[in-house]
Amino acid sequence: MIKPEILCPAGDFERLKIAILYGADAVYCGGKNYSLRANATNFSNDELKEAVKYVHKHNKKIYITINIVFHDQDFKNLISYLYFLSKIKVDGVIVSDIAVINIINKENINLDIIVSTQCSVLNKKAAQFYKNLGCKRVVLAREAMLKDIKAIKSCGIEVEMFIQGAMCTNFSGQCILSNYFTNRDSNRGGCAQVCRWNFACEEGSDFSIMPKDLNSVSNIKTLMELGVDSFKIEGRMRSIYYIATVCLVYKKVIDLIITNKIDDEYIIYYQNILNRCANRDSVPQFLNNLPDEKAQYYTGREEASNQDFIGIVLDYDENKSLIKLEVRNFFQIGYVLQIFGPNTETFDLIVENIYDESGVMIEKANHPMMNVFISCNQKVEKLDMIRIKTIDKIEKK
Amino acid sequence: MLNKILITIQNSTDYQIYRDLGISNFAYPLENFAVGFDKYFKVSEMVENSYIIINKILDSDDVINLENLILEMKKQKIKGIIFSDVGVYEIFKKEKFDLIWNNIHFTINSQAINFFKDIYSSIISNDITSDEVKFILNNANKPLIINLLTHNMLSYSKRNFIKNYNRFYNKNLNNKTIIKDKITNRKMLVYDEENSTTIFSSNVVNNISLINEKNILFFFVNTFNIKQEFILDFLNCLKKGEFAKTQYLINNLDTGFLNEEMTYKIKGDIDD
Repeated sequence: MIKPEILCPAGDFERLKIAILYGADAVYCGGKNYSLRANATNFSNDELKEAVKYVHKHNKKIYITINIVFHDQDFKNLISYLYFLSKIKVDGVIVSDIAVINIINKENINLDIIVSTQCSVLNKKAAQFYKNLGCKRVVLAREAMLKDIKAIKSCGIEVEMFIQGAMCTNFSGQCILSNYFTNRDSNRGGCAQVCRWNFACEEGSDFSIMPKDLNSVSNIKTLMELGVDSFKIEGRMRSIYYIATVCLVYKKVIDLIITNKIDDEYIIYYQNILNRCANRDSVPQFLNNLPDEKAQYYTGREEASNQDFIGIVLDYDENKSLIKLEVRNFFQIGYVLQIFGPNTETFDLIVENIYDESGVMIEKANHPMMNVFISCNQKVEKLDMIRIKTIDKIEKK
Repeated sequence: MLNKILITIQNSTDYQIYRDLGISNFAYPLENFAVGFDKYFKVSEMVENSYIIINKILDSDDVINLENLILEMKKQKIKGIIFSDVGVYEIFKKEKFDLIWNNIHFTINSQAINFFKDIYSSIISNDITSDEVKFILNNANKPLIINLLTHNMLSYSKRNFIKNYNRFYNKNLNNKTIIKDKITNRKMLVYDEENSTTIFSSNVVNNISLINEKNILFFFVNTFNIKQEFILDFLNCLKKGEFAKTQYLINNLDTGFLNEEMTYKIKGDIDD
């Protein structure tokens, strides 16, 4: 079984570094223009240059999104941008507009083309169409079912699939609800997420088309057996904690599959971890069946704001057994925390003391971004994550 | 004028009515391969020289089933295929049908439309402004099709929103229902079919202001969810050259996005 690529979102340089540190094999990000997350921080050309250097130094890959659907006036400066991306040696561009594919081919620009999920590829003939245009990979529609993946794989193009994160409730790219209700262009990155609103209908109850998120932990083994080349995690605007957690979970799940250790207990454990780190529940969605009413929300915005992320490790003093951390959410003496990292197996820690930066003992840490110290006998590493304990860590030999 | 109308057929009596009026170009939504229409047709039910609408995003089974219909389409002397999924183009590119590209949210720039050199035409999206439509018409490498009268299709999902709603609340909401945003009171039409839901503008979009533009092959009239009485009034106005009058035939007419420039960079106010 071939180990698939884990592809993580990088809304900015901080997220990119976290993704690489926590096990991403590749990252995707957008420049200041032409990208569907128009309101993410995104990368300037100089930052892209640095990002490519950084990623390649770690022997990983970086793909750049040029995934808006262009209006004629949007093509201005596109060709020079494509040449720039080729020059700095990005590993591919994620494209949804056929015109962009055509420009890359006509100009003979040395860029690998990845067909965006916006193109709704669900069948072998569509994949063949893009393969004939020289595209290296297709990102399947999130609606793809097992039979579709199998058929598309047989035409010999690389296949990338979303495995985790928010779902468009409609086929991605086939929705302009945002345009209709808010005059914000969804297919140029301005999506106002109207599908997460509640509507009134004649029956009286709120009408909602809001989907839960995608969670593929239970299907990873099948997807690996089908030969899916790249597992993509959604969320260029998600937090570093989310990126670290999701990336690490899937890395561990893949390793467990390869070493033939995966079982239902692990699957449930990792599903629970993923459900805790986001503000929406996540379910398998389309892979085996059409999603039913359980894959949607109905009664108001049921998303939970989550304060599990306590902080990030800035340093560890082995001599004093002290963690220096940057606080993200409230905690106090007596709280039970969990610490995890790329090289730190998850462990529990009861907070016995908290010191501020001048060494004064405090009862609680209640200012986001303040730096504090807590005692910990177990060695941790810089950029390990600290969360509130909500789930018992899995204990297996 | 009516010889430039391409109109969808929604029931078996439509053809003769429109034919008698002077229309000669007809489009039939193909059973199992189209979404967002009131009625679908088998190939054998279509008249010669008509166009077939295939606007479904096809899955792997659909592709096989569609390939099996090619022979029947030839026998029926079908003139052309109006397609959305590029997989359909791949299936039909070597066949002698007039291919018309209509990926409704992607036919919004001239470069994408001009990419398909070997196809007959494209339907310009309703998502763009009047100036953008004119730019495309002026820069197209072939005559194009304008949506003249239609409910705008706002979204297409593989989910069953109304079936799921009915199951969740144990209710019996009709599979075609109007819902309303509570703040703006703006409405949309939700249409739940087998394995898909399409959502439409509640108003009918009338693009009559584009009627005198050049380089137009057809004006497309999509009759879905529009009363035939109104359609006939509309067509009669066209026949008489009374274009302005078409704007006042019914209350729920508007111009869609023709005069609505979209914004897409609004820093810092949207969560994900």
